Amino acid sequence: MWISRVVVVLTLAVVPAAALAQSRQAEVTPAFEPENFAAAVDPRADGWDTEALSEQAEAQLKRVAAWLAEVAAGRADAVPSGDVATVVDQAFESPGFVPGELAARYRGRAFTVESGSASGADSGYRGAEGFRRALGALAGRLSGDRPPRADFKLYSIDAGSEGFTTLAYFEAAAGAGGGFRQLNAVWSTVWRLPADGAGEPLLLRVEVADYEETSTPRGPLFVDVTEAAVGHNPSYRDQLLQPPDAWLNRITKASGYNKTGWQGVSVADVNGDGLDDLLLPEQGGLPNRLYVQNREGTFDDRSADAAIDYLERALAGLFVDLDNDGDPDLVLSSRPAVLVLENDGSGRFARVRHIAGDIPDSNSLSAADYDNDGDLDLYVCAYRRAYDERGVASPVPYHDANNGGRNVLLRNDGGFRFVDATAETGLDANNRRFSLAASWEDVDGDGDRDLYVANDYGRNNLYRNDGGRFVDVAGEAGVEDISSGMSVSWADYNRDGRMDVYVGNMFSAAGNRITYQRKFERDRQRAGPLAEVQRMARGNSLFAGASGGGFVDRSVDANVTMGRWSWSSVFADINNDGWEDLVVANGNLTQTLPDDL
Amino acid sequence: MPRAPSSPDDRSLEPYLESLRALHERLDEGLSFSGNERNCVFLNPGRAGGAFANASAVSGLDFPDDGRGLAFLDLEGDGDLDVAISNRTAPRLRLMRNELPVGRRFVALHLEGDGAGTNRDAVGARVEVPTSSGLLRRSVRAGEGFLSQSSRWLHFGLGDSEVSGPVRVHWPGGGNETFAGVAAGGRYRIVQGRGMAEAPPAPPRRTPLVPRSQEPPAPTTGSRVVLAPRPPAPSFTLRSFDASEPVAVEAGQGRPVLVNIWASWCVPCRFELQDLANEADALRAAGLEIAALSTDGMGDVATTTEEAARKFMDEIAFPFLHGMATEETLDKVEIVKRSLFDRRFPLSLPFSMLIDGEGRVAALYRGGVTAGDLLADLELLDARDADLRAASAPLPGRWFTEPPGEVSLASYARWYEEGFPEESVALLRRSVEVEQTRLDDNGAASFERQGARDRLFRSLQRLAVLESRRGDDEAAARYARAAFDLEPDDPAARAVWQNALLDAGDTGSVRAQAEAALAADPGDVAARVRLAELLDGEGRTDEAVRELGRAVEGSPRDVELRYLYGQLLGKAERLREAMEQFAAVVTLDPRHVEAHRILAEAAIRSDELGAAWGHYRAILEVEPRDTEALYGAARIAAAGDRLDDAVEGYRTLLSHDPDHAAARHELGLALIRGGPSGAAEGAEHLRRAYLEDRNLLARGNDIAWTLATHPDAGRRDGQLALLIALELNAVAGGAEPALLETLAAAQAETGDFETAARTVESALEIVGDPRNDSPGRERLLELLSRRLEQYRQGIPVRGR
Repeated sequence: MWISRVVVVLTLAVVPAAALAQSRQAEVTPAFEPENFAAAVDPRADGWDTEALSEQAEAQLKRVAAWLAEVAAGRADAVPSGDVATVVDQAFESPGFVPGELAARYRGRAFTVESGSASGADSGYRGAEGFRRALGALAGRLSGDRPPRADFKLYSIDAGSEGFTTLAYFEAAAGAGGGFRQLNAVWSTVWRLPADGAGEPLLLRVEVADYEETSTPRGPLFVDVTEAAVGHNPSYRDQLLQPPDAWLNRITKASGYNKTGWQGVSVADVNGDGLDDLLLPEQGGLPNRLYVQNREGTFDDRSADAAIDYLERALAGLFVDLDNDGDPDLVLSSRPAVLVLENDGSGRFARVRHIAGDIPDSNSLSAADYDNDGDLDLYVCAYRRAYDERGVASPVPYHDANNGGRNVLLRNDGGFRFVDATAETGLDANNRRFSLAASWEDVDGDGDRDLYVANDYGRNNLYRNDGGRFVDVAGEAGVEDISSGMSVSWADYNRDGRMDVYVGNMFSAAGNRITYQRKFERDRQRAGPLAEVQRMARGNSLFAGASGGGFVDRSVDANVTMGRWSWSSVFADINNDGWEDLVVANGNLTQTLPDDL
Repeated sequence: MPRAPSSPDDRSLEPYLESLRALHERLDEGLSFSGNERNCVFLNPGRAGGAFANASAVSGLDFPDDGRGLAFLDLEGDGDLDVAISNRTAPRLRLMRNELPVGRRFVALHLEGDGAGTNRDAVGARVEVPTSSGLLRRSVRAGEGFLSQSSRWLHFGLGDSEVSGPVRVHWPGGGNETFAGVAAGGRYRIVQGRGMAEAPPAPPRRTPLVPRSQEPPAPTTGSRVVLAPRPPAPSFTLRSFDASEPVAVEAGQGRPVLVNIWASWCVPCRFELQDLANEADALRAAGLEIAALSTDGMGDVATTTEEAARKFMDEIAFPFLHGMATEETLDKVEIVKRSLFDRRFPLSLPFSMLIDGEGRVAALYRGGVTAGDLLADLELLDARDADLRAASAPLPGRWFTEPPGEVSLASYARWYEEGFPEESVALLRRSVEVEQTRLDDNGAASFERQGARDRLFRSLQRLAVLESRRGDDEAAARYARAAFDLEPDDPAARAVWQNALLDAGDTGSVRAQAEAALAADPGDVAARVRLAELLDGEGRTDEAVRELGRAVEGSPRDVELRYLYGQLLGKAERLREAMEQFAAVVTLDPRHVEAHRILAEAAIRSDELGAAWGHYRAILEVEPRDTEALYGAARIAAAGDRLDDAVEGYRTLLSHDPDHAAARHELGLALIRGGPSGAAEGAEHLRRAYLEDRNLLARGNDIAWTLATHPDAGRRDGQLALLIALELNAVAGGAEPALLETLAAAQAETGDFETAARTVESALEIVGDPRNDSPGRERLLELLSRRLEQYRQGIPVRGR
């Protein structure tokens, strides 16, 4: 069990400089050697044959991406012919990688979008030389004064006996003349398997679809002003800049620090000065942070003064005026309970007014006045049952689990008294579904707020509010969205007068490939009917409100599924053109070792 | 037969749960998992129509930070949406300013309800802003996305349009209200009942924030961790220099012990031990014992030996206990680390644990610890829980929970399960006592009692599993029962209890439960499967079949249930019906590999090669490299004289599995059958196959003999027989009479009787060797002599 690997820590406090110099040379061994784990993550070891091919093909595509960046940066000679032969088959024959013509389909002050069709334009790229010319033409779209970036993400594979075909997202970006341009396309690639079964697959043909370029007239639309805004606070360096690995060997699991890192962010004007402030809930062992905006436009750390610097693990904060006295009170999704803290009007939250202790695994919070009695009620999402530490009751079945934690509707009875109204309002139906987010909207226009809940491992809920009683109508409304729901956002994105909903899910390239390739079938046990399990990995969903309270799934038409492993996925009109765009925060676990499958 | 498959704790789920656990192990070791992804931005093309456009890179928001939360706000009140992003990794926060040149192309509204019919925050209010390009709608919301809340200010981008009339608000308490006075480029308060938008004073002018990239530092590796509460320390052993047997390190005997892991090649270790030796008197006076355990010669960096460790200890005259670490000790150190932290870092030297007088780990030191630090930490040993807790946090803050007096022993127990099950059982038994006491404490807060209840449940369930592993089925059933009593509505708890009862031989109780469940709900699939399982276990397979049949009737689209039913029918030797079920399975789920496999085998047995081929193809759709299916399909192709298909199939198989000698053999045969162009390569494959698997010689011999001697001229092929026989004899070195006889028959069939006769002669020589005393020798000699005569007369062999 003991990993026989011993590493020296250079502890400056006890090592004189001379010894340090000596020990650096003599005794420092690498902290981690990925080779140890290469075997453990080799999909071939588990019999995931197509996964092994996918890995090889993706590695080859990533070499193409690296060459593209080199050529675009004017270093065409950085791509030796010998190397090309290890990626491109002699019989390579393909249309070009760039459309002959691009046409603008959207022009705004912030962005221009141009698209064109590359297929069938010119089939004359043959052999290694042809590949170089095609690559050169693509690189021409990326020339500029910022270092270009290019990457592929392989998401589908269809293997035959002698060769196979892959589908991969192509993304590249570069800056030129103060502007900024990105390329997006889907590469359908035919590969030849090496004759003897050993060695890398070779490129036979590339067909480029959905080619599109998006550009800005100046640099990127958003710039990072964090350091200017909060950098003067000691907590910026001591806490915000510290990577997880700094805490993962310092704060114990029992104190509430884990790798998952489910911490959100909340904005409200806590002291009534007309300026929005920021709350960052924190992992266990680290204090929550409240940054209050001052008149200079920077933010001061008021966590201790505001008395919100709790060290129990927190996930989300929600600022809502629960007593209708004109200041935002704070609800804190924490462990092992949900706290309700009263604002004294100056941004101090010294009084804990309520502890909801029977929601041990709470996460996202939302509020609405569901019973239209003039005060705000709370809805708390819960993920797992308390005792479900890895294993005992993992989500089963995978595509339709209903053995998770219980979400709770807390009815506001005034005076910071809250009553669990979940059962009496009908919200206990389908209420064990590993929920991660919820948001309220009056979907049917009857004057009360309906509730959409995004659930991991299966179906979501749309609870229609009929005067304070709820019925789950997700199925008939067409928004069950069997998937890994993690986020809900409402807006009228198509401006047809009906509210639409965007649901953050997990687009898993590996999940996509695996669920379509069926060693998975044997492993999944009772994972569920194939279609549902495949649907799980599709990605984010956009449902457009239709007449009669139903919805139409526009996810694929609108091309908004590929948010990757999405968390917050929300509507926002970022370019002020009056149409709601989508922003997706994503990425699951980025650690020291390379990625999963 | 597998057990109740629909229960969440079914044993058939073990592979699924096991793969989850395996994944978590790898994540603990630092594997990324859908990491290195970049945030996405999709641009709504609006009236231009079509799909959203990817603007991730050009937005400037596409950081690979493991983003989590998004909260939008207008940071500077300049009319565009800025965004705060919270991340899992560093930097934890990105405050991203929108650089849009805005001008007057926006309106921002701050709604306020009357606090009577409508909540003051106006959450739920729907706002409509009429513009020259149509109506814009927004709602006030509290909480959206994931774990996030955006500003209450409603933001309306206007594009090139103007606000064309009063703003309409639908208040959540009922009633619509219009507000005049809203114009492009303004920020307004919209107060319920006032009917007129109000412009608050403009935000103060201030110095713009200067954008700058954030640079998180590299994490430091050394650390001092004060533990509050203190986890149980396992027992450690050391081996004195030159001794052969390890002895226990006496810890938890009333005085604190520092267990130190070091090596002589580690410079910081040497400085640390020297310092501890220098301050020995002060440390002793404070009541501390030290056990310094050397790892010299252990692990991968085994460049030094025990001797070097002893020499250094002698040099500094180390006054405390010292010796060599044992593998057991290092294993347990690893367990302590893993049980405490959610990430597994390799053991770094020096490493120490301060164990208190009650045998609990009080502090960990990664990197050197000075005597001064130790003396300070010894003071902490008797500190109040609250002070200890404060000392344990790296940054100051406050708590709303009471400091836990003791750890959750249940969560530590599982770490010892694999290597040290006795430690695990002892911890769990203590856990049951402790948590039961907590649960019974009526004065405790409800969530604290709930926590105790959960830990008690977990402890009982784990004890059930461990006792079952140790073979004490009665104890297992007792613990599982206690867990079930705590959570009687939990199907998982029920399943665990039932499984334990079955292990303990109490089928009667399980049956009674299943029957009761079915009486209450005849559609309870889990209960019916359980009943069928029991009947099957008693040998009453027919009744079991009947029960499962009813279950299938009730849930006809449950694929796995049908598969189970098919298996049971097969066991009852009702093969035709079994096959019907498997056929139904693949109709419901055409990618059900296992059912296809069974169907293919059955089809082959009844000589329905076409059907079998179809099933193999279906398997290959799912798993293009499935050996069995490739081999089966290719053999069927060969039998149908579709030699090209067969060759392709065998080649594919061999490209994944080059050691599959039988496939290589068949490939060789198919190639040779395909005509002269493949003969040489075919012969090559045959030889390689024979060399790899001598058992194939018999099969090759049969084939060659049949080809050489078949009574039907159309099925004879002398050339082919000759090719095979030559390879057979080449591999056997011409020393096997049976193979030589086949070769001779092939040679005769091709008309070369002279060579055939010579071949038989050499066979006769071998058999005639006086040292040969194999049984049947006489008969063989007689047969070969007859053959020799026959060939000399120019007569080939026909039939056998």
